[in-house]
Amino acid sequence: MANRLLEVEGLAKHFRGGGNWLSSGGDSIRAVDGVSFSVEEGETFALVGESGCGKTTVAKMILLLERPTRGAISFQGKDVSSFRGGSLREYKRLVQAVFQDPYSSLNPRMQVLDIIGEPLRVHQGMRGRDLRMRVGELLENVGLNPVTASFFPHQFSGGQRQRIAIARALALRPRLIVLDEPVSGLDVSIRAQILNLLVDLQRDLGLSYLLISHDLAIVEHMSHRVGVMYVGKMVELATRDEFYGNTLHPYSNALLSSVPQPDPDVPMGTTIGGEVASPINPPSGCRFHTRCPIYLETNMCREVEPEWREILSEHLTACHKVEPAVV
Amino acid sequence: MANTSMQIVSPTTLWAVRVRSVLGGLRRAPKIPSLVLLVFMIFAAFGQWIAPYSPVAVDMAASFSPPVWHEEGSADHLLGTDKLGRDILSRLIRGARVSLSLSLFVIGLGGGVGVVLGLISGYSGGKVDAVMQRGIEVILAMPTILVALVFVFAVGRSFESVILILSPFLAARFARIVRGETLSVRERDFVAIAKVIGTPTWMILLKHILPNVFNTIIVLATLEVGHLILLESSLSFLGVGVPPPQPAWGLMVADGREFLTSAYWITLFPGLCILAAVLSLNLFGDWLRDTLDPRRRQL
Repeated sequence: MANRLLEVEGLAKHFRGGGNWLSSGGDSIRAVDGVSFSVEEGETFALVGESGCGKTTVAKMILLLERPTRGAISFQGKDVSSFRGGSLREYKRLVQAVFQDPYSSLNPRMQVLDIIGEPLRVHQGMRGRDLRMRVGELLENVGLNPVTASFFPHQFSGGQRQRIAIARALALRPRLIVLDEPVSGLDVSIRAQILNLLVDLQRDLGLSYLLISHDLAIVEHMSHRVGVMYVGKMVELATRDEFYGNTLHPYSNALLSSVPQPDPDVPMGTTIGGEVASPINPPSGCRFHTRCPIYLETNMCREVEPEWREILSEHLTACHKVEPAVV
Repeated sequence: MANTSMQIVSPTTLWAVRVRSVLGGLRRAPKIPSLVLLVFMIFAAFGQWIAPYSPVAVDMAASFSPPVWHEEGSADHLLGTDKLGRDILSRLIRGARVSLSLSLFVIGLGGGVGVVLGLISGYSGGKVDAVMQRGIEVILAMPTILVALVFVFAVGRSFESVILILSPFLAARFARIVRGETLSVRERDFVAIAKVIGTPTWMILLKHILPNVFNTIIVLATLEVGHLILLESSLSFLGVGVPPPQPAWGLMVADGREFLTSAYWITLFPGLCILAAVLSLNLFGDWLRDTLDPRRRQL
């Protein structure tokens, strides 16, 4: 197996409820509540789930934008929270991000040269001709004309803006790029171009991606392994082919069957009703039991939190109803 | 196929884009406000050579002469004289320096400090923000005029003491508004990306936050000029402003107040100057705001 690049162990983030010095505040919001997975060298690990399930909070913790309440993140075998000074700089060089909204992720007051050049200036003190050369090269890598370096973001379309954001993420030759819904903000006609660009860059540069998405079609196209989250917890983790071929968890099944099929003769699968449970006061036992199609009023599902078990090789899930094939 | 380096954007192109946008912007500068401000700036800089009389030369024989277009008016005093026979036109020209430089100093000093405090307060959040905001509230809650009275009696009446006492009030107003804007800008994704990259905080403030709150700063600064000229006149009226006989527009308005019915020109002309300056600055500020925003530029 390839080398482990990033490992996340029991990661949790609880936000304090809106209290002030007069009231101690409501219950804490358990946005992420014990998530473990890893990203290998050169692979795409996809994190999927409905909105509000904590995917983005996981990404923010990995990017050091939020501090975990519990759990550990390690990068190349070293604990990220212990990074200081030089090692922290190195981490910030090797881990980059592309966010969902290309209108918000580019500073409207900067020329493209300065946007893509920012990481190069900060980390390598690059300037003048070297900087222009490198930015031009990066623009070509993402399929834009280098003369556009003098333009401002408003002169580009959404897809072109996302290409600029990708060029900026590539500038420091990172190992891992966190892609938080990289194409959700784009027109459908542009999505394939950006996804193919990302796949090509991964192949050419040996990048690892942590892909955060709610779109299962994109995940199938891009990823090597898939993790499904529901209300702050991981409910299933498997390789792509296992996940799409042999789904174990009822929530994953419901997600997959809700993907529209292009063939009108194929009936819609069983969809689930109800709302995503609230992370402020998550259901007891299995968090999915309130919406679970195979929940049969057993106390087990309602009261006991299901164990995170390896059911098949490299295929883990947390469900009382799924029995391990190998014990 | 050209050599790759040939395609790389040249520094001249980068600068050409910037220069062209500045020139394009200048062409769209508002004509009349620019002219008005230019004239006032020339008065402020070269007033002593332009003004026909000394602004403090008393000529009791010519007191209350009306402007030239009145029957009793004379060409000696185009805009008439005040109760001491001082030439209104000369006082207006020399007063431009006091009124404008006072506003500029207060905006430069108070506004500058306020912007820095607002950026820090809004960006850091948490305890730092809470403490700074309480401090700002204390300043904003104080009655400007009363504090100025006490301060000027303690320190002495001078141009500098007026600047010193008005600056903290202006700083508080700037800090409050810049903080609010900063709170919204710091949540934008490009700031998060800059943190991911590891851009130092001072650079995030300078390159990402400040340019995006600049619109607000410009608008606020132009609005505050008017406010400051009026404050200066209130202080002068109470006897703690710019010390007479130095001419300042606000002071002149206050001087003429008693004679409004008999000699309107003492009050009217400095009032018109204040109006023209404030209005021009506002229009000029609108233009500056649009020009500095790349989205509104037409290349």
